[in-house]
Amino acid sequence: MNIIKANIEAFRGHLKSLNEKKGTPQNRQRIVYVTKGQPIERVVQLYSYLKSQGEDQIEFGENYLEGLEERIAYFQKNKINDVRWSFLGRLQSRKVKRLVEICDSLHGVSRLSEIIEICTQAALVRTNKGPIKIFLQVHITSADNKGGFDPVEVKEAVEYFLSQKPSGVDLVGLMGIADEIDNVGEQVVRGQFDRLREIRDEILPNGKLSMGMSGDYSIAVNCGADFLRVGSLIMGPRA
Amino acid sequence: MGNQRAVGTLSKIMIQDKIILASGSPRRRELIAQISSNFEVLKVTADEPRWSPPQKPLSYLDTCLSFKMSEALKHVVDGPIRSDAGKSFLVVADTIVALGRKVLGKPQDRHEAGRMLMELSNRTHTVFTGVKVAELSFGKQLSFISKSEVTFKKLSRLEVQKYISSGSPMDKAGAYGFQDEALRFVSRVKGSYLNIVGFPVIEFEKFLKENFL
Repeated sequence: MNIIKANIEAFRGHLKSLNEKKGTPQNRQRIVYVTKGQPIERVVQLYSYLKSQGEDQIEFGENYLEGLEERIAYFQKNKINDVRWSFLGRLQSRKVKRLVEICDSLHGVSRLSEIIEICTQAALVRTNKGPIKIFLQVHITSADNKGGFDPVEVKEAVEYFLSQKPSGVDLVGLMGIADEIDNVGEQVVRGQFDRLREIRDEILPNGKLSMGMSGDYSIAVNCGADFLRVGSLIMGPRA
Repeated sequence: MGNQRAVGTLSKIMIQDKIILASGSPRRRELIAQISSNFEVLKVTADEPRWSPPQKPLSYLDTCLSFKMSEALKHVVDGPIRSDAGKSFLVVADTIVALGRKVLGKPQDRHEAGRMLMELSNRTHTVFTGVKVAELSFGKQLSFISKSEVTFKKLSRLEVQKYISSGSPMDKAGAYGFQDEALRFVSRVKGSYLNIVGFPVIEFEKFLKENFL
């Protein structure tokens, strides 16, 4: 608990000063706490701490469906129903239905086919819940391995989504993963986040930006991030 | 766009009248369940008419719908149904894949499946779903057709072979299904996604209300 507390306090303090410097409100960024690979006790500790701080919109992120289901089941068993679960990993078509059923948001939507499948499944399984929130992942690095739409594809995907208006699904914004800062340096990462913001401004002006993780969140904040996905920074290294 | 109304709100405006869906497709069943709690599925097994040139795709679709409807009507027990609870509708649907003036039917073998998929590669084809409805007490029949344009990315022979090995293409028009891995081949779509995934449920509901209710 103490480590989590100390880490969150340090993180919050840093965020505050970043926002002050930038002239943006202190709570501008929503935090998705990435809990993948952490033992369940630590996830519960994190929840308890955030709750004790009066946070009412606690959002946890996972990368694998199996892990996510286990956690949701554990929390439900313990009568904790106010956590929002985000899926941050790559989608696999046969898992989309389940993810649409149990998640609050999907941050890594990377293909038109995934949008179609999500919209269809949302029509089938989310009739008694609010819409599922999605972020379209844009490929902003030079490497091939990070996934996502290229900038032309994402424009078409946004246009298609908006033409369909499926109310079981909310298109919240765009998501991007920058290169490792240790490999490419700060300037390159900044350029990648700036690029994502420019794409957003062009194709989805009211959209939010999910960008920035434990290693590069301060750059992301300076580039206009709305959602930060932080894990090891708060929780320590994964087991 | 015909699809202005929200999918998520469908369940709030359920159709009360009985719907009998003559289709084996689980996805169609699931989609119809969103607008009707009073529906049943009728199993009809009959070989569809085959397309041959120079029949135009839409005319072929119409032939299929009429054929399916006449087969389904044979199966509706005790002839026309008139329930006190309201009307009953018999519904048949068919989806075809057209490339220009040509209709791509179900492939006969893996070889033909491969040829069809390579034909679709890097091109835009049209997916038509036709829905025919018969109101069973008076026999009024009407149909509508929903159209979507689908562009495939450039497919490699390896991707195609892998997909064929999964066994998916063999019973599907155009050698691919929108409920399986073939969705990944799609690079662009124009028109309702509900049409290409199996049943244009929003258009269907509107069509019923405008014409029958």
